[in-house]
Order: sequence, then structure tokens, then C-alpha cells
Amino acid sequence: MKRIAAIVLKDFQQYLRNVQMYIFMFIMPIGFTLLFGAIFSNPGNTGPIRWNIAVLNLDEGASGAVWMEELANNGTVILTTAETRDTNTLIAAVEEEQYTAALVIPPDFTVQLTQGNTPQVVVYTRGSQDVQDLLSAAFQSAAQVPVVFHQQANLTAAQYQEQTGQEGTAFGEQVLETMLASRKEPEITVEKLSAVPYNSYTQSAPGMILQFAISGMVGIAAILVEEKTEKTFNRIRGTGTSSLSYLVGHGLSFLCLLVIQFSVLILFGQFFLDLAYFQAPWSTLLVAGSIIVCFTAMGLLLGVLAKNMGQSIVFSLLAMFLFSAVGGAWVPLEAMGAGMQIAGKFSPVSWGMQGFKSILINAAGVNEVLQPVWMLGIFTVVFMTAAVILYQLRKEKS
Amino acid sequence: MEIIFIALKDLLQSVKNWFLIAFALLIPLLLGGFYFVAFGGISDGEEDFQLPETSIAIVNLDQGHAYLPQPMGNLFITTFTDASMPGNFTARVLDSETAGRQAVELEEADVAVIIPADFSAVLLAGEHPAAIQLIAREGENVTGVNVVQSIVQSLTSSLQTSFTASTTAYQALAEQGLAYQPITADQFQANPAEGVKFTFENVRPQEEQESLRQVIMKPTLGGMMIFFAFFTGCSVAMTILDEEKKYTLQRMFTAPFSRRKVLFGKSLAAWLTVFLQISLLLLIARILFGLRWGHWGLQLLLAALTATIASGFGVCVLSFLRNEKSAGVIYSGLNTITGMVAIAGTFNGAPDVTGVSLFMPQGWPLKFIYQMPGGYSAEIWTTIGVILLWSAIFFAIGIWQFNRRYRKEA
Repeated sequence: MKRIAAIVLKDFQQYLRNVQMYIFMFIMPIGFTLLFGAIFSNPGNTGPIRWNIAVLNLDEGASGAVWMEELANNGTVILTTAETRDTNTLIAAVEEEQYTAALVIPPDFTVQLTQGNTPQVVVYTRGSQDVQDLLSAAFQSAAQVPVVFHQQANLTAAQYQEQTGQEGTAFGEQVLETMLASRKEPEITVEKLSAVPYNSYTQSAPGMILQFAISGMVGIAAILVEEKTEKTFNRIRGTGTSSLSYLVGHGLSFLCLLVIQFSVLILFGQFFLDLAYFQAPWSTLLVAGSIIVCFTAMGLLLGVLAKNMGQSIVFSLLAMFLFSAVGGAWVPLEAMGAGMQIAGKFSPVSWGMQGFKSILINAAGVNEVLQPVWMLGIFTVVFMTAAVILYQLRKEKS
Repeated sequence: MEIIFIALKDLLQSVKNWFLIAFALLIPLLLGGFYFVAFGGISDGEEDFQLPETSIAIVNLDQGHAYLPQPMGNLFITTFTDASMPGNFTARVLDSETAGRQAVELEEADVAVIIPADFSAVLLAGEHPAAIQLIAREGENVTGVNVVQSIVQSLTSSLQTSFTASTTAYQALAEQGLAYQPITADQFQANPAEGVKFTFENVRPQEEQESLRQVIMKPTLGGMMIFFAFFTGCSVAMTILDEEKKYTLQRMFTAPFSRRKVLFGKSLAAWLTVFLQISLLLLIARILFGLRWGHWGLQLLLAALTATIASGFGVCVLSFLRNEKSAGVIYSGLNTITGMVAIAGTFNGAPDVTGVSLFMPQGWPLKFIYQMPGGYSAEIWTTIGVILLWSAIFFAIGIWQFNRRYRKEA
């Protein structure tokens, strides 16, 4: 016990002296929490797709403008009215990537609709078929308003003519004007059920805690590697310290470090970002504790795996980016495809995220966070077993 | 010559530094590549982007209208239970809002679609927009709920448009004492609402066209390159403090060449490392992801300009710092904050680098990336001018401060 305590104390002093650790433990996670929180502050913002479209509206009637108004309501489209009437300049602007595409509405757009024809519209793009399909769907959907209105106006004009025997075009145009004036956007409201109000940091705060907790593994891995390369490990073994005590000692010191990191970041989230960790304090404690134990085991495994400092850094960073990205620490797994969601199950970060998010969104009780806690427990056993086996193998070799 | 020797020695050290390699090359590529994988699949149909399983509860309270053969709300049931819906979507009909809400609360449904009692009446009256309510759980199955919302939006919008059209026609004819004949199925088939015919003209040959993945990844990876280039600039410039701590810098000052040459050599090392970093990242992104950045001359210019401003920034920041430990914290914090502010727009598809981003040194090289496809335009020369101006100011401050500091110490 004394030996374990001595290792813990020694490691802890080493950690505290390493100022760069503070950056990864506190500055980076807080900075990135604020950044990602700001990016995803709009609940509807689920990704980086925006179509920057230039429009050259040459239509001599009103329908081209109506179409553009409808298109502007599409959240993924940024419309810019082209300053030029020269299509070659527009083509050059698309080629030079100022716009994703340029839409040229022909002068007879309204006339074609009025005559019951299908207007032909040219779209200049540099995108391949997948980009063209998405653009086409967005354009076509917005075009429904002028198309349907014209179709109905034409039929009304025909009925007028049929019943009165008089020319119906003027009547049809009048009807069309009335339709355009009375058009409305439907109101679709989405009520999101949650025990606590929406907070834009619900995703980024736990995500960054988890990501930068893994980055702390560089510290433990570095210490283990340093002890191996500088033969401190042999000296410790010479004191009669067992393998288990050696690993437990190092593991405990890293665990203490993670406890400090989690405490600071959870308190920051609670008091500065208004997150509801304390609405379910026992669940928070249980989830955070499970993650800390799991990451400690992962840190030990990486430390045993790495043969030199370079490897320890690369392994830690790879673990950080791989587990964080696949586990939904940056972008919610729910916003990704089914394949990514399945892959996410193999990252302990996804279970940590599930636990924290159910607390922050639904104030989940202890029973409700048991599934992620169990899964983190399984990861812990796997990592720890692998670390012990590998350590024994290495020890026998040396 | 001495400057080159100093620079080459530092460059060699950087190349051997695993941490630097991971930070300079691996992480920006991993971060950029992640977006490529996470969102790019949207474009590839069901093969690698399958919609998650989504259970929908439809509550159709629509009472219909005397003029209508059936309540319009029935269309939602038909649509969501239709065989053409994605296989991962299942729908069932519930009879009250409470039941729908409960189904969502109890996780029996991911989303409840509530069609109000006056839905048909509102559509016919045309005075108010048609309203539909969706109920979902916060933060769960976001993609599935978004797709359902999009279908509901599209269907309601079509209904609203059709009803506005037909009621307006009906009223106009009625005012003239004429009868209104709704569009018959035959008329509809003879004159379908084909919409608009699009002719896509690609401005690029097939092999140079951009896929959705590339459209998404390019700004993200561009942002990451610049973000981490500034870290590299500072990290290499930190060898000045490292050598000072080990007293090798003081030894160099006793050599028969000026102190300025030592600092220039160190700055050149930082410049070369960042230049190498950006050049490699551009090349790897081209080979791995097929990203086209623009004319090769401009790509070299990007690497050179980023190297100039990043190394200048590094020298300037480091000149005010006394020891390695505090330097690590301060430059990382400063780079993280300025870098994040500069590249934030790349994560949500901002079409240009504007506003507060341009007050950060990272903002201008990023703007340069956005302008590169436009070739040697007037705008790009302005950007080059601004980058050089920033760099000159950084170098001037850094070298002046270092000189002042070491003159004092001497």
C-alpha cells in the first residue's frame, strides 16, 4: 500500500509540474466547448452543407421572383443576386468557386408557365451528379408554387372562356396575381421534449470533457515510457513492488488527475454554461466515475503498449481523435448515418456521451444511466485485462 | 550561410519530433477526413448513409370539411404508411394528442405528427397558414426527426399551394357568377405539374467535378491546415527559448556572426517547417481526397504566405515570453482562441471569410484559400498584401523585442 501511495504521489508531482497538461486539461476543452456550442447554437444547424447560389433572373414576368423567394426559404441555400447579366462572367464565378452553382432564369419563364409549357432553366455548376441531384431537388421543390399557381390560373382562364365565350387570359392573370398575394408558408412547429430547457452546450460540453480526458493519457503514457527508457521501472521492480501495485499506482495517479479535470469542467458547465449536471447529481457522479475508471484503464494500456515517447504521443492522439470522432464528441451521432451510429458503439466516448446527454437533457436517474455505465465497465475490463497481460509479457521478455 | 545552417538544424529537429508531426499533419487530416466520412455519405444513397430506424406516431385529428370528400389529414397517414417510404421508417396511427405525446415520452415513437382538427378548414379558408405540430425527444434520432419534418413540411406546403390556387380560382369564378370545375384526374394526367426542367451545364470536365464530400471537406480541411500551421510556427519558434534554457543560444551569440542572424535562422526554420507542413497537407489532400485547391503557383504561394505569417506570429508571441513552460500555455491558448474565431465559419458552410475572422491573423490565409480557385485576381493580391503586412509587423515586433531582451541580458 505504501508503495502504491509513493508511486501515486510521485506521478502526481510530475503531472502538476507539467504546465502543458493544464492546456489540454482545462484551456482546450473550455475553448472548444464554447466554439462548438456557438456553432451548434441553432438547433436546426446539423452540418456544414450550404449551397451558395448565384441567380440571374432575366424573367420578364413575376414568377421568377416568386420562385426565388420560395428558394430563399430553404435553410441550406444562400441566394445571391448576380451583379452581371453576362452568363460567361457567371460561369467564371462558378468555376472560381465563388458560387456552388449559378441559376439563370430565362426571360420567358413566366410566359412559358402561362402558356402551360415547362420552362427550361440552365444551371451552371462544377458539382458532380450527387451535388446536381440535391440542387435539383431544392430548386424543383421551391418551383412548385409558381408552377401550381400558373397551372390553376390557366385552367381557370379556360373555364372562364368556356363559360362566357370571352378571351380568358386577362382573367387568368388577375387570378394568378390574387394567388400570389395570398400565398402563405405553412407553420410546422417542432416541440422537443426534455426535462430541462435546450442548451447549446449540451453536445459540446460533455464531448470536449471526454475528448480532452483522453488527451491526458499522453501524460500517463509518457511517464510509463520514461520509466521504461530511463530504467526507473527496473529500479522500482528492485524494490519488490509487484506488477499489480506498479500498474495500480500509476493508474490511481491518472485517476486522481481525471477526477480533478472532470470536477473543474463539470463545475464550469454547471455554473458558467448553465448546464444541468446537478439536476441528477448521483447519475452525474456515476457516469463521470465510470468514464474516469475506463479512461484510466485505457491510459494504462497505451502506456504499456508504447515503446517510446513518440509512440505514446501518437497512440494517445490517435485514441483521442478516433474515439472522439466516432463516439460523437464533435457532431452528435444522431445526426449521422446508421453505419456511423453502429461504429460509435465501439467507442467508450459514445457511451459516456449517452450517459451525460441523458442527464443534461432528461435529468436521467441512476437507473436510466445504467446501460452506458455497464458498457463503460465492459470497456474498462477489456482495457485493464489487455494492459495486465501485455505488461506481464513485456516483463517476462525483459 | 550561418542563417541557413541554423535553420536546417532546427528543421531537422522538427522533422524528428513525433509530436510536431502528429500535430502538423495527422490531426488536421483526421479532422478534415472525419467530416468527409460523417456527412459525405448523404450523397451516396443507401449504401453508406442509411437513415436511422424511426418510428412515427400520426395523430390525425382533422375533422375535414363539407366540401371535401375526405379530411386532408388522411394524406399524411397515406404518405407515411406508403410502401415507398424508406424501409427504416415505421408509422402507426394514434387517436389523441395525449397518446402521441405519451408515445414519444415512453420512447414508443421517435416523433409524433399532430394534425389539428381544423387542418382542412384552414386550408380551405386560406386566411391562415396551415399548422402542424411535431413532438420529439430532445437530442434523439435527430436525422430521422429532421427527415420526417422535411416530409411534413413538403406535403403541407404542396397542400397549402394547391388549396390557395383552387380556392382563389373558385372565388374568382364565383364572383363572376361562373362555376368552378376542379382539375380532374384526366386533366392532371394530360397536363402534369412537371415543374421546371433543369439543364445542368458543368463548368468543369468530368474528372475535375466536385462531389458533395469534397464540397464539404475543402473548407473544413483548409481551416484545419491554417489552425495547426500557427501551432507549428509557435512550436518551432519556441526552440529559441529552449536553446536559451540550455545555454546553447548564449553560446551561439558568442560566435562571430550577429545576433540578428541567429534570430533570422530560427525564424527561417519555423518558416520552412510550416511551408513543408502546408505543402504536404495540400498534396496529401489532393491524393487522398481528390481536393483541388487551384493553380499550383497559388498553392505554393499559400504555403509560403501561411509560413510567413505563422512564423512571424510565433516569433512575435515568443519574444514576450520568458520560459518554456509559460510559453507553452500562452501560445497554445492564444492560438486556440484566435484560430477558433478565425475558422469557426468553415464548420457551418460560410461562403466566405468575413467579419471578426479577419481580425485574426489566421483569417487572412484562410481567405486566401477561398480565393485561390479564382486565380490571380485583384482580390487575391489585396489578401497577399494584408498577409505580408501582418507578417512584417509580427517579425518587426518579434525581432526588435528579442534584440532588446538579449542586448539587456548581454
